[in-house]
Amino acid sequence: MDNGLNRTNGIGLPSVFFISVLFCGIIGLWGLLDPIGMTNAALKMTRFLLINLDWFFLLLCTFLIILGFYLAFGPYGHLKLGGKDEKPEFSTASWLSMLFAAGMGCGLLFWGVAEPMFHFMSPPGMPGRTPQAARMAMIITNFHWGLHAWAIYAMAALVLAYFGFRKNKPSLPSTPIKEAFSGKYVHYLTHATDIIAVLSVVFGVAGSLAMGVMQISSGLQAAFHFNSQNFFTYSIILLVITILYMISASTSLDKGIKILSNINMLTALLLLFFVVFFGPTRFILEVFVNTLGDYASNFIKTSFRLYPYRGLQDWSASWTLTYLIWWIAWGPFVGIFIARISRGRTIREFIIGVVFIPTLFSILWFAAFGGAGFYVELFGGGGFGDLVREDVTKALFGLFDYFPMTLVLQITSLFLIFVFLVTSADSATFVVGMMTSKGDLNPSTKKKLTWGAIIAILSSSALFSGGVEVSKAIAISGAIPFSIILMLQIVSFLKILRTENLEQKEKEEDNS
Amino acid sequence: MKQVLLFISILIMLCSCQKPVHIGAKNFSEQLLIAEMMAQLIENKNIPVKRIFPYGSTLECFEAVKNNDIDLYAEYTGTAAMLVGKPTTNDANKALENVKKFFADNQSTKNLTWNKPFGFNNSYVVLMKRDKARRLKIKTISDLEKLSSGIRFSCDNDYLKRPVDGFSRLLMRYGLKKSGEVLAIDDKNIMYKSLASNKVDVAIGYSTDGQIDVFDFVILKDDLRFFPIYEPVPLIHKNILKQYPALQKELEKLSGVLTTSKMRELNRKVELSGEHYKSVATRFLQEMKLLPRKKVSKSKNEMVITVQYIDDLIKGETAKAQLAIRKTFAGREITIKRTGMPSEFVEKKKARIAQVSAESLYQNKNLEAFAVVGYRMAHLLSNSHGKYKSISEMKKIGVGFENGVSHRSAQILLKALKLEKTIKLVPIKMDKIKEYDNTIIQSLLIKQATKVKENQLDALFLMVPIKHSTINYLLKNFNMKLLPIKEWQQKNYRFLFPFFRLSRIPINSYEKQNYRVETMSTQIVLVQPSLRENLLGGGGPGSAIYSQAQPLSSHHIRKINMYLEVKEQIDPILNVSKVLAPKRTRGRDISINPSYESSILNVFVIIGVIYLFVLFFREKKE
Repeated sequence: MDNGLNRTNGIGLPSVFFISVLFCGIIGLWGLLDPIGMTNAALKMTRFLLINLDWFFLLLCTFLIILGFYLAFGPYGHLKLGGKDEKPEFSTASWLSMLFAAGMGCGLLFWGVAEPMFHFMSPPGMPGRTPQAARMAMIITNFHWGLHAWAIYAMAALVLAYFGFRKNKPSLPSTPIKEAFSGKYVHYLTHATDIIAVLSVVFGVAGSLAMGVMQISSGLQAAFHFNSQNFFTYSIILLVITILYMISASTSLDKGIKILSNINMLTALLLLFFVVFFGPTRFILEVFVNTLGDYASNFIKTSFRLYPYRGLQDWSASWTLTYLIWWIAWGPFVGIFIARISRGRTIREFIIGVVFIPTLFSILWFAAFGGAGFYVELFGGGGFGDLVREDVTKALFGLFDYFPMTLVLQITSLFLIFVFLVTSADSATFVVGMMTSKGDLNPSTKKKLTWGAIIAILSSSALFSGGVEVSKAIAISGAIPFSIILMLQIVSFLKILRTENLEQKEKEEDNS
Repeated sequence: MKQVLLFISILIMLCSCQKPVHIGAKNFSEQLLIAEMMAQLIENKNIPVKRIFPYGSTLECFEAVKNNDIDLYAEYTGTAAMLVGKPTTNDANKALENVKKFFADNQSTKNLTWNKPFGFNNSYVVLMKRDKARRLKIKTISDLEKLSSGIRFSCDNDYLKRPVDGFSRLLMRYGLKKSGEVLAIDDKNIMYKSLASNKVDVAIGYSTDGQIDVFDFVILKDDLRFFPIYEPVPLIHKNILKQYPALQKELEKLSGVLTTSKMRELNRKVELSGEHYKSVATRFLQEMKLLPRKKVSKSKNEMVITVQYIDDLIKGETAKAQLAIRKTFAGREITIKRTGMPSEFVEKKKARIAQVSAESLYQNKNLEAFAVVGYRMAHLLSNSHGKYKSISEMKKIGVGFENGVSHRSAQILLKALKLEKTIKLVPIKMDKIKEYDNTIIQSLLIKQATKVKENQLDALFLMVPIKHSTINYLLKNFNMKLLPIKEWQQKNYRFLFPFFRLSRIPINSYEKQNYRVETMSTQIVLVQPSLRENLLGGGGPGSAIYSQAQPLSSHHIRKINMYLEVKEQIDPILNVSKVLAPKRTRGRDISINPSYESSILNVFVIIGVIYLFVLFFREKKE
């Protein structure tokens, strides 16, 4: 009998693959049959935890940054994620563009204009549209997209890369736990960990994909003025994306995803250059430098700020904490992916490449897109801020109206969103494929395609049943369980790391 | 490599682009209108244009054109003479000649050239209320002497400061005596209101102010020709003419088509009706056949507001709401669309705001009301010598437009009174494709009323704001009377349909109406889409910003309410926007712990974290 119960992993538990598919089916069906119930269940739960544990999440993320600093510049910085003389698998440029493309997604494009403008118009606890508000807006935006985000990814990735390449253990989220702890529940715990990780990735990406499809269709509407907000258009867009990432997924990592990521980064750089060059160049560069200082000097303040006295916890919950939870939701996916491509880097190199360089790049990105918006509002004709405040979705394309070749810019950015989505979905199928084949670094095409199809089906059911709220609920539902896993992983990692240093010292002592 | 090539080709494309003509304007509606007209004419000849308006004050514009930061703007001859420190004149022909000479002589203005004048004069004018001027027989400024106890003046601050043609010079030239302090007000609307309400005797404004016509002020003749000529003329930097020689000829087309009274009308549209200067300019140019009439592509900035067919866009509540919205979204192009079901457009994302009455909002969770505009009252009109005394005797009732507010309200009324079987409602059929303007709407209503007169219909039922011009017209010219709708009160249907409240149309609401009328009324509100509570913000990497029916920001809602100046709150039976809900105030005996669930959760998490530390320090059992 070839049913699921027989597909065990040899120790009496059904395989990760089978249980994950089962859960995907159940939750997907729930979302389809009772979209409102499912959305409320997922979002209300998450929001309850976010509001009541705001201090904890903020502290956790800030702690991850401090830990990252310590690992990079402390005694463990020189440790290599791989064998002693191993060379990095990918060139540094490709490595950086792959990890950035996987980590940031298309949100960066739209929020690049919208978020700085939004905070500029209505910053928390101060009047808007002032130079102070502009500075505050840049600090807040970069706080949301900068070190905190990348520290979450970096730690999720580092733990796995460390065990996978230095200890040569399977690249599974459960590996660190298995290695560090013992006891009769560890076995069940590791099994659950793998399943939760798979589900987080699948749902995170499926939800994001659904939202991305809606975003592209509303972008098409903005650029070409036709009514595209219907399930039919959604299906066509989703179909095209699915075909593309399935093709890419059926190739190996250094072909499909690498090429996609490089196209992605080049297009993004081109767009960035265009905005800097044809926008207020000097002003943008001034904003960039100014923000570096502001971000650095306000880092401690913002990293711990929750507005308890002003009663602005609602603001924190709907901005700061939402961002943190999104990063955590994408953590397993981006983490495993970054881990996979980081073989042969030292910990110091890894942290600099995954935390600091992307942060610098996003500060530049926001300085360019947000700065151009500020310029219009502060020194130009104005009116842009009101447009953004009235409808955030108009921010990006609204800004392009101030530039030459508006249509080219619109099409380029739509293309970029498109490639971002294909890349994310492709990386996700790869990662889930890895996780469901016992940590195989090059999972079979068949498995990747199966997961690719499941992600596509989940996205289309989210699109069909209720649009964005359902997609969002699906996307972030894995975040809270994964944050527990992440903490366990980090404790395991630090525990093992501690022994490593000792071993090395002993070796050095033996040698001397 | 491909990318590099692409990039280079983009650069080449850009460099080969022509330098656009930079057009500036001062910061008031006339300047914006003229500048926009010039821009559209130039664009029509396929010359690229960059609009930099409003650019700034007179001095800023003048400096900018001298330094060629802008290529052209419209300057007034009188002002230009003052700018280069030369005397002004009150002879129109001489004024431009003089200015041209001054500019050519001056080193710093040598590169500027004056084009053909537009042909109207925007000079200062001394204004008075028509009835008062007639009573006192005042026709010229000199006649103002007749106000022997002194004259109460109002003007703007700028006029008080002007040295050559300013206020004190005016008094001296005409030998006038002022009484009390001059009322210096920069907001034209307030200044003219103070004149209309007799707070001052005389106001000094501009001859092209739209308010002059609206308030029907009389312009006193400048019998001593004290005021110089202020004729707007395109002032162009010569550099741009080298690049686009056709420019000059193109701008000359505007010469002579504008008169002072035409300009007043256009200014009125912008300032008093709140229309966007861009669309006013386009329509004017099309009327003058200077621009081809083509389908204007919908601007991204357009904002659609839907109202009922029957709503009067020129007078009354709807006009006020329209103006409040236009003021709130200054700079946006606002299109008002008439339809039977305004709320439907908002739900389908085709309009941002709809003006509806409570009956179409009742128990609709997708929409929320955010501002009160006024009230609609049920008007039941029948022949004044007709046989009917109440609605229950009738057989056939004409209503307003199909599926519009009158039609739907009448349906509800008949259903409540259980008359739906005995009475037939006859709506005005609407052609969906056609755009209906005020005159067509008016004529359709009159047609319907004619049927009542000819006894084809027993009565006409209309849900309109009180003092609606159509009702007044019908009562006056069609020999009709208003019938009470007493049944609503008698049978307590108001509990079933709470959005209709009992009301009375007071005596003399309309001409010849010397009786009060028992009827029902419902609130007119502005509505927007109501979103389900947003449980989580939209941040994050995979988050998408998608367009959807979005509510206005709280800031805009407050602004619209402020401009509407309606003090009343929205009927509580309706879904009211959360923005308007009163802020939660602290209860008296609030407990020290707002939520025990939260406390328990936090304790668990703290224990969890401690356990992680324990795990970290515990030795691994082999």
